[in-house]
Amino acid sequence: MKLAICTLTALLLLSACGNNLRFEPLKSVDLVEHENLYIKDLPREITTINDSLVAFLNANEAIYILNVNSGVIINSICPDINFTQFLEENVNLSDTLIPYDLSKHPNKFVRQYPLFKINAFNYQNNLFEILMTITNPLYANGLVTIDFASIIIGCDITGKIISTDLVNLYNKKDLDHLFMAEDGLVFLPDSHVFYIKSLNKKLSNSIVSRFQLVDKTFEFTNDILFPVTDMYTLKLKESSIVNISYVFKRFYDQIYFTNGQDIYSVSKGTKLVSTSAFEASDSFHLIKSFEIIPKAINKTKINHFAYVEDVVPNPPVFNQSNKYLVITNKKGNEIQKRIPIGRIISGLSFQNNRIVFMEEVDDKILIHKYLIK
Amino acid sequence: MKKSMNLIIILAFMGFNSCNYTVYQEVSMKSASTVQVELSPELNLELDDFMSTDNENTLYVNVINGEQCFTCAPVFLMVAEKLVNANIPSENLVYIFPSKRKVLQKDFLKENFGLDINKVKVIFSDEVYDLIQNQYALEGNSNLLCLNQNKELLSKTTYQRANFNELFSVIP
Repeated sequence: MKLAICTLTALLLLSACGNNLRFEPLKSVDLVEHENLYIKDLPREITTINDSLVAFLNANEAIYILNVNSGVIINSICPDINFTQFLEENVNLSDTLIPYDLSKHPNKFVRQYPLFKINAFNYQNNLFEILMTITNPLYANGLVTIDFASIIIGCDITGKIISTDLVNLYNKKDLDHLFMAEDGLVFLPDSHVFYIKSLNKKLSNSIVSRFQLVDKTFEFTNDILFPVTDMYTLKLKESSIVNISYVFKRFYDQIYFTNGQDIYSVSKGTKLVSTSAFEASDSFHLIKSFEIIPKAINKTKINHFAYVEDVVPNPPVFNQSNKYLVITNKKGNEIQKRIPIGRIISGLSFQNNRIVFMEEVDDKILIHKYLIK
Repeated sequence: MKKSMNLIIILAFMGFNSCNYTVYQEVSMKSASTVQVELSPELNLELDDFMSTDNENTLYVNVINGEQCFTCAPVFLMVAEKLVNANIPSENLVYIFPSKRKVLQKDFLKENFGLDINKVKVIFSDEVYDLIQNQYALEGNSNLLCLNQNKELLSKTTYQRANFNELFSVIP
């Protein structure tokens, strides 16, 4: 009888724990910033380098490498490339747009307009692959800036350039698409393939496009269309407040992305996680970023999805959104943990059994870590 | 090529925020409206240090959330230049932004407005920004307000990507 009660109690406890999810907050660390090295915007995506280092994009200007244990930014990478020379050598200028020289323009804003930006990067095998866009500002009855050419730069952790390749976004085949280079990128260096967000002409279809390195140029090879019949189209004012954009993640040979509403598997072409966004009339529920948690370190099987859920009042109100850290089961269809984590939150990174993210509070940035097994 | 360029330019004019294209154009001049607003004692108390002058000149108050207008950067910069060139006394010119970490404030002002943080009256505060937004019914937009000595609203002009003339018309 006693044994039966003990067994029953143990079973009850196990079922209460449900999935055996181990989830504990670890000590937070203050991020160290100074006048020459500071974070302009908390990043939407954080990439794990090793057990203590992460990398992220700082406002399209540089890649920062941060030690999450000490809180010190140890390096800032911005590839130094002569864009004029690169274009002359790699682009048939007579066949496309001619870059304008605005360095002597009387207007200070036009003179200072940056001629490039870093859109996204991927880190793998000690190599950064950085997607940069050369912009072409034109001043004629106003300022029009056009993305002129995109390049993939390979560099090591010190910023030393190893390779430069042109991305052919203006191929004739691509006329039906608008490529959103600033909105997510995942790169597979072994196969020289990268995936990027694009939109069709009607701007209504959610597409992931695939580019492959062919004869020294990345060329569009195909796109993968996802079910979008249930996509909610935000009005302009709403979209400027909730700021939806894509986040891509690579998990071994699989590619996943979120469009702000759901998490999809690129290879399977299916929806995995949904916030049931927009169902509630009084709020929007968005996925701002996500991470894939494996069964164990170096294991290729998924154990959980973790994501940052943003709850924005409907209609959106300035400064009134709250973020939650949500952990689901391996299929993504059951929420196992949902905790409030503040208002201004970065993307997530999974590092050595820890979920790592940053929070901006008043005048400082905190690095939070949660043990998850 | 031409086709895709047309699409890009159309998108830019539509104000498609996810794109990397910034466009602004000249528009016709409109006269600034005049509205009387009574200030709450709470707001008066909060802002008294920042929004008070000893002279009878107009008080210019820029209430700006740059993150909500992706195409306004050139407009912000040019209006700031115009206000500096108009020789408005520093006590009559105030900038109000949502909260920003101290380490960001100096460069933010320099890069977006060409201003020195030590030479302008500037407030980085979500609370003050919200109060002003609600008090003057600014509907979440960035605005240039003109107030008299009693903080009564003389004009309210919204920053948009193409309204230089409208904004310039209220600056002497």
